[in-house]
Amino acid sequence: MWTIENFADQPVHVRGIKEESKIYSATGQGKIPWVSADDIAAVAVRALTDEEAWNTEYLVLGPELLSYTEVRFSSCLVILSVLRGLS
Amino acid sequence: MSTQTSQPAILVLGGTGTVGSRLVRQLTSPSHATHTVLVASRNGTSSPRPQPQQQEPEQDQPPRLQHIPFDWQNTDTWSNPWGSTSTTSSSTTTPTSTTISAVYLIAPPTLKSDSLMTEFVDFARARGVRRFVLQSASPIEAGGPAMGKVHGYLRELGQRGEVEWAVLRPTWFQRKFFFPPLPFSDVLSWVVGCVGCRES
Repeated sequence: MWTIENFADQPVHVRGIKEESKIYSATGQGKIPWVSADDIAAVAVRALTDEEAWNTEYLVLGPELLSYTEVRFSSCLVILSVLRGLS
Repeated sequence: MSTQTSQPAILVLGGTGTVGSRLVRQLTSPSHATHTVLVASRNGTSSPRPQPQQQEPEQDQPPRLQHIPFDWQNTDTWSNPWGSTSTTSSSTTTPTSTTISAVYLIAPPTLKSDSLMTEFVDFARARGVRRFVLQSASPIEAGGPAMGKVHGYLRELGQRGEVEWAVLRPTWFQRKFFFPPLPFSDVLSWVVGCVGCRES
């Protein structure tokens, strides 16, 4: 799955980050609708607990198409804003 | 035997993985206090990942979260969620006939996972489960390979009115395997280390 959490979970990324500070991808500048695992879980909660059954399928995609570079950039912004919130 | 679970239960297969652990956390949050949550995993214990938000059950209520030992490859364990075994690691109750209303299906990381999953769907239906939610993937259509077959099967059963179903198809790239997760500090150092560098 193309989740933001891949960078922390997938062995190929873990190795690249730890040993070379790099992330390898075959996507080039290609853009992907990254989705967060929390959002998939939130959809799953509804599918399991809604009174009325869905009886259908849903694509669960992120709100925006982003390249790997853009994901890294937005990760920086998130971390910086968290750090600023802490100080 | 002492306490029978009165709330209908939701069974989460693969409940210690990336999505599964988050799903369990959300289902056990106070805003979704309507169901008991059964987390099935091979070792039947909670995830090794830190989950500080995990809720402590109220003193006067039965535990809403139970860990169930379950192994796709060992069909003897398939009935565990319904309480035919007393092995639960996180609670003292040993329900004898848990009512499971819904199952969340995440594919096991094995070949032939589709036939195991469809077999389990039938196994669960025979025990009264009405609703199935399958986690598939964006590129896989109903009837396609792997999870697609399970998707097709659920849809077919649904069309005959035999199950309630939903299939989620999140953005997908490659299957995850079980590896130690990278500590957040390493991700942080990578991201911060890359601030200002130009490389794509």
